[in-house]
Amino acid sequence: MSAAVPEGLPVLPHLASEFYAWVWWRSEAQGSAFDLGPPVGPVDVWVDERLAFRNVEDGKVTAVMTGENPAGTLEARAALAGGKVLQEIRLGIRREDREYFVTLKGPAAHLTALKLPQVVTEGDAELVFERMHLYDEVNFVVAHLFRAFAAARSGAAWQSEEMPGLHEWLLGRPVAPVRPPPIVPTREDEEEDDDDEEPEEDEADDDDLPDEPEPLDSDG
Amino acid sequence: MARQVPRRPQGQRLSRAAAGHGQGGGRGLGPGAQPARHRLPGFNRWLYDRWSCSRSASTKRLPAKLFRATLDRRCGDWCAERDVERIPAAIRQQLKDDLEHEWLARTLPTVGVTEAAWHVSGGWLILHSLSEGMAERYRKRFFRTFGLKLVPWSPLDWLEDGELAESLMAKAPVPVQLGVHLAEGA
Repeated sequence: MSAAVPEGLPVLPHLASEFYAWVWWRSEAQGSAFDLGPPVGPVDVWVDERLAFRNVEDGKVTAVMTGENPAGTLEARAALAGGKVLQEIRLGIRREDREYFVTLKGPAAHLTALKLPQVVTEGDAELVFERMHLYDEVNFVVAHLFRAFAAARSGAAWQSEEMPGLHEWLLGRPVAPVRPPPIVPTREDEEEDDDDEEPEEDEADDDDLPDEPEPLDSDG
Repeated sequence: MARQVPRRPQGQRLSRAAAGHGQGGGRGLGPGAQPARHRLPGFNRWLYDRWSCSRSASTKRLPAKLFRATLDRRCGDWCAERDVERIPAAIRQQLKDDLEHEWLARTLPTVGVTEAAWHVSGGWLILHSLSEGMAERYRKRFFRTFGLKLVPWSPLDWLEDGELAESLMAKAPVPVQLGVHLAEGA
């Protein structure tokens, strides 16, 4: 898709901030459980130990919340409610038995301070291949999280359900059960679906085949 | 880590066969780079379509306040020798250049290494630096080496659906709506 745009797609600062806030709210409303659908499947995503805020018209960070569970503090929600937007968010991600920690930073959502699980312990080349695979995986999960956000942001339910739910959460009111984020089908899913379909029979082939003989009667 | 997406200037899709040395003079990534794959054991097992390289940059830095204070003292000495109150700008500049040259000759460089990982078939490159200056230097050398243009990556690149990306680009920001006064909840 990007190849059609020689200079690349634009980096929209407000989009990343909305994405961070959406992930934060969703993780609290859904108990950190996200079902992103195939091929990602269920993952746990929670806000870890860093939130950084900035003013809307400024690119510099003006407030940072750190420590254990800053996302649960009133100050963090007050910063958001007061008009600040998120510039950085540190997420914990668990997929199957692998746990990752990553800070999404800035309008381009750079993956920084990435902490990968250690699965392989021996072999130089194996370690490199493992890190490559794990980096691919965390990027894969974050990409699907963003796709779910994009589908929600573009959908009709954004104004009617998502924003009111987010407002209620900001005000500290009990959050009603929210619908899980929409599952965005990927190209792999569509290709797999195509593979699963039975090939259509060609009617011309039937005409070429001789008619089946009629079964003989059992009486002879 | 900043992601960059390699592009041909004409907008063609990147491919390994298309990668080649850049045209024109100047240093690209070749002479200064040490492709990490050449140091890995079991070279034949290395994934064929991924590259890793590093660029080292030696930087000399002078202590700014000390430099300025020393320059001011030398200017003061020059004025005292000639019994004048102010030093001409050209003389001050000359003294500054001399001092800079003198101190840089005695300063040890600080070596910084910036690494990059290029997924050739995936069409993206990760730069281990968030500095825009470093990214710009890398873009220049990448173009000189491979003839390919790196463009900054956007989160919209995560979306495979072009219509979804266009829909998002058309959405206005909603920070005002998030600015709910806490008094409303009281």
